[in-house]
Amino acid sequence: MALLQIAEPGQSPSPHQRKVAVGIDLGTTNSLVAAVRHSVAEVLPDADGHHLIPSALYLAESDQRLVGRAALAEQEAHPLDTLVSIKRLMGKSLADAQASAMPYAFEEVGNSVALVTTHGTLTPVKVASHLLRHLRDLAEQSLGDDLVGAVITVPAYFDDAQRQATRDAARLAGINVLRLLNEPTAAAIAYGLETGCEGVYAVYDLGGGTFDLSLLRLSQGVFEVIATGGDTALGGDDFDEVIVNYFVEQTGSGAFSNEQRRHLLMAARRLREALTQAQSAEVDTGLSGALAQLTLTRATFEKLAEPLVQRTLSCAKRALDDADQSLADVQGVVMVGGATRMPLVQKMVADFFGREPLIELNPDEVVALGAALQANLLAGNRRAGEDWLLLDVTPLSLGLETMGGLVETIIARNSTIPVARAQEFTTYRDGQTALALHIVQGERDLVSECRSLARFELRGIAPMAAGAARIKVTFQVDADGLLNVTAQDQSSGLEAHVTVKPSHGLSDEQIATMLQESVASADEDALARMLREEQVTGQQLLETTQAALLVDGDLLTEAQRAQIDNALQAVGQVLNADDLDRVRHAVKALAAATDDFAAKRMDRSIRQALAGKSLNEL
Amino acid sequence: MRRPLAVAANRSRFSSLNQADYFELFDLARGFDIDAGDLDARWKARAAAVHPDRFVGVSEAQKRVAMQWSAQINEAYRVLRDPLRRAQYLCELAGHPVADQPNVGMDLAFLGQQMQWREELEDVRASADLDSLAVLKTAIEVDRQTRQTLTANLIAQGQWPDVLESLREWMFVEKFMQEIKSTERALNTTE
Repeated sequence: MALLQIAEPGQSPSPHQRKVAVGIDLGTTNSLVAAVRHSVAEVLPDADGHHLIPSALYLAESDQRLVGRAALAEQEAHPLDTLVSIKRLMGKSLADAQASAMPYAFEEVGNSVALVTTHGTLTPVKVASHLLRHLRDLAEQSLGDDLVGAVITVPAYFDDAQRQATRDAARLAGINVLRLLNEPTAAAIAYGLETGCEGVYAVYDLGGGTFDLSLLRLSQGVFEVIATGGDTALGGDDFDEVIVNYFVEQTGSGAFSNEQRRHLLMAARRLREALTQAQSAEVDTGLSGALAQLTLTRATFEKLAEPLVQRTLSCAKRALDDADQSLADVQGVVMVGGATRMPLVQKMVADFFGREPLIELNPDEVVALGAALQANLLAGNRRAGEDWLLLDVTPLSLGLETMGGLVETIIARNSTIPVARAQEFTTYRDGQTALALHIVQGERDLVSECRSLARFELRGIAPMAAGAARIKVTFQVDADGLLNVTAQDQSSGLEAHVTVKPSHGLSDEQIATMLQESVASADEDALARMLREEQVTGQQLLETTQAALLVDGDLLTEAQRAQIDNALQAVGQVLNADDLDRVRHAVKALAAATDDFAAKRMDRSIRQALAGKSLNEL
Repeated sequence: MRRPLAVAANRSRFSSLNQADYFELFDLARGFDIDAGDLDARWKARAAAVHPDRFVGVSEAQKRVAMQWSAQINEAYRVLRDPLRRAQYLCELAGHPVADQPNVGMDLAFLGQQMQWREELEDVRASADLDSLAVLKTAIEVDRQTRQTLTANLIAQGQWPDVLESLREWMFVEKFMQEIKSTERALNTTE
């Protein structure tokens, strides 16, 4: 924690010391980890030289786990214990999962869905954390250093619950998340920096399980997202699904077990991939009977697939409307995601935009590369003259339920983030002393058609006539796209707030317990490493605080100054002790004592930066 | 027991977080006339200076400060770049918030014009005639421009009661323009 290093934003405090940060594309089908080495972003290969790591986890007996290709190798033999496409379940409820047609057994753990396997039950967050852990290990081995953090990409159209779930998974994997970055935006960074192009560009991102379309305005050093649209339940998997349904209908076959269905989906995937090159393809399913072997022509497949591609184009149309842009304004369409290799997709996208899509960058890798570039920038490794600004948006409108089940929108979709907006609400009945706040996300006027994010209450409102109370509700979305809501009674100053912990996710307590479990199982090496890290943090905090006091000590009252001096002394005394708990405790106390001071310094520094702008900019 | 829900009080549209004046924030003179390109450049320069991406390694308290400033700058840009929101904001700064005005009777001629336009839009919807929709759209755009210019002049003269009346009519026209655009989208989709 570099508490007070704000003098040179974005710069590493000690320029000779490189900080290793990576970009992680946690995909539905495959995941990648990339880093900037020798000023070039590159995907880090695993020990066998593979760039794409299948997003698969196999749970064997005795707590043995396999990730990636090794896990996928078990899929034929253990289709129900090999978990794939789990990204589709992130931040979802049991009911959502059951409606998804994914061939697994589900149950509810807390508020989250969980997958039941022969050797254990796991939440999607836990599964994702195993995948992330694997990617982190891969990166640390490949780079030969510990990571300071990672930029993790998410579909632009992910809602708050899905984003929270992704961040929770990273926390469980011991990864410091520098930023959650929208996948199409990451692709735009890689593309824009590579080509240096300017103007309005569309990023068409069709992955294994999600679809995003973002419109960006690229101008010198600024990547400005002007609108985004998409569907988090539309991807390559759905094309496999229509193939399976077609054969089931053709042969009049009856009900299938989850296991049989998984075999059919695997066969459909192979068919679809073969049809990218061939006009006709044939595969064995491993089942007996009418569905033992499947043959499909490209023409038939394209007839089946057309409505799905049409859906992506409707999203594109709406994004264009939202951005008030016409097709003629779009100077290029960047294709992202393995599913864009389908000839039908390329053809329909070209017809829609009236121009050939750009496919020179590898559609599987471009997101991870962009994330790596952003991670490198955020870690402070950029070189002189190398800088850019990213302005992203909220994909979905955020609002509150009001009387009659209606939604009052507070933050409209496609608002530039960070965004904070406040609105006043009042009471409905005479003498009402509590207010229920129901936070929803979505584009419909009716609460029942939006995603419920959280509920909380403001109590202790002074009893007044209906409509007399003034309750200010503030919605705040940070640069990761995560929502925070505060309600304040304007007459009493009484406040209630929630970091929206979604209805369908893990609670903070659950995450804390899971983290504790991993600390408890840490071996001595790991404990020694934690102590070392804590000592380094303490030393840095000590030095930066002392330096800050010299420069901005005038911001403090004598009492505040005394408090910080005490905390400094305490850290100095225990820093070299071999006691993790004591060091951690003292460092925490110093951080707490300097919290307000740090915020005041930040405010001063920003005011100065803004004042500087008015003089020399333009 | 389920608590009663909130009811929208609909007071101010611009409850800013730290009460900074949006014009001061961008170092602009307070007034209606703004150059869009210049505003855009000012926004980006400021956004670049305070964006949370500049402060990744700092403490939570410091991140919060950066985020609030960043949000404030984005909000200021959202309000100032849109002529209608900008006019409403100027009214509020002058102590004449639009939402607080009692709904005094509108000009009869204006209401008559409104009704005529609505009937025309209904006809377009029924006939799905894109050409006559385009004609209507042009007429509304001309009217919108006129009201914008009128409001701007009244703001410059500080004639607030007249500003408010002109602004309310402009808001009606703006809303009607949105309806035209959504009709246009609907007709284009069904084709």
